[in-house]
Amino acid sequence: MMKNKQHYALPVLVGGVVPSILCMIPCVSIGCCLWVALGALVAVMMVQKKAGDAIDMGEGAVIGALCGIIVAAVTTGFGLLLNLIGVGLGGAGAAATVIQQMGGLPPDLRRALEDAGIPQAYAGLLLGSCAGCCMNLIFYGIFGMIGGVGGAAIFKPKPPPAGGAMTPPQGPGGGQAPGGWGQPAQSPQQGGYPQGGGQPGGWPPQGGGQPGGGGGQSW
Amino acid sequence: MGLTSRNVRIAGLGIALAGVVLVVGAVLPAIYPDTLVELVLRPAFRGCHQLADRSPHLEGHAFALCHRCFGIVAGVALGGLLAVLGLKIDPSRRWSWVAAASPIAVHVALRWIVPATDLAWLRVATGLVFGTFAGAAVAVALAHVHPPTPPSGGRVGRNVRGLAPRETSS
Repeated sequence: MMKNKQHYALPVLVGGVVPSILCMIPCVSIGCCLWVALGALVAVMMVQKKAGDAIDMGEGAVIGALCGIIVAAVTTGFGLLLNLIGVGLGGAGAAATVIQQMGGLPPDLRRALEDAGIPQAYAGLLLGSCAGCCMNLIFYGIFGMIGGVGGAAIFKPKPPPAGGAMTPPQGPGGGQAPGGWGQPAQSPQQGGYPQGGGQPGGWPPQGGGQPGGGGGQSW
Repeated sequence: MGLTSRNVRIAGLGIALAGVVLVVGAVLPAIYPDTLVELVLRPAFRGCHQLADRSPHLEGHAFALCHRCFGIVAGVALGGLLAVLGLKIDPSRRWSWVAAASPIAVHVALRWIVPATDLAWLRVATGLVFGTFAGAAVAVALAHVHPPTPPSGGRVGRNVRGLAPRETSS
């Protein structure tokens, strides 16, 4: 399905890292979740340009999800770093205060942390970062997928004009005429779906002019 | 029910659950302010600007998402649910994305011209429209990530190329 995965590396990195930076710059972050979706959209565009082929919806969703994962990883890592140096969320001290307010950690967990030599404040921080990372993954993953699927639709190459050697299917609906590969329809409305060969990401026909089918090329 | 339909429903369920988790995650910091819940969840939505005057409130405490983002994630949950219930959309069409995003675009443009239209419910509603379409579209797209391989010369009407499922009776 992911036929272009050899082209993913750079676009996904760009589509993940750039929105992460934009989300962290105070004035620019007013763009909100738009940056994540835009990053995925750009990544899809880059993959398509590299592959020279149409990106289908499922692949767009995967590229978008990968971008979302990178954004989640970068923002969580950056947030953790800020907390450790004490400038984000009020630092580790704030986490410790909240834990105190809540009556401290459960005794078993506290004992385990003491055994491991981790102070309670940093435990709260670590706990918070893990929970935040899970939420981040869902949040950015969803927005990334929206951008990826949207990008696959928006940057889908236009189908070449029908003409020349194309043969319309004869029958109405599913079409009873011999369709077969490489016999695109001139007028899809006459015979159900457009036949393969003339539609990117299209609907290549099965033998017998029937619509649907699988495993066909996009062009 | 064909395999594609089943896949869309499974993907829709996943999207709906993710949307519900995000909605709950955005609301919890307003229910439990000044606790570890807020400390953990508010930074988790750092992708949103979280400006208090542009966010929904509960008893004076702001949600972790702004109106528009809250509308979008609520819409994603709704779109996933609609996909589970069998809504069929074609996310491969450009115009459908333009149509879904146009309420947000029009509202953003309009609020610069007529500031009185910058209303909280409009921000939520426009986000909800886009989110609903996007949630259903992502469900359809995800359903095609691992398409079934049709047997040679076999069943028809199963789309495996990433377009919307158009099941037909052969």
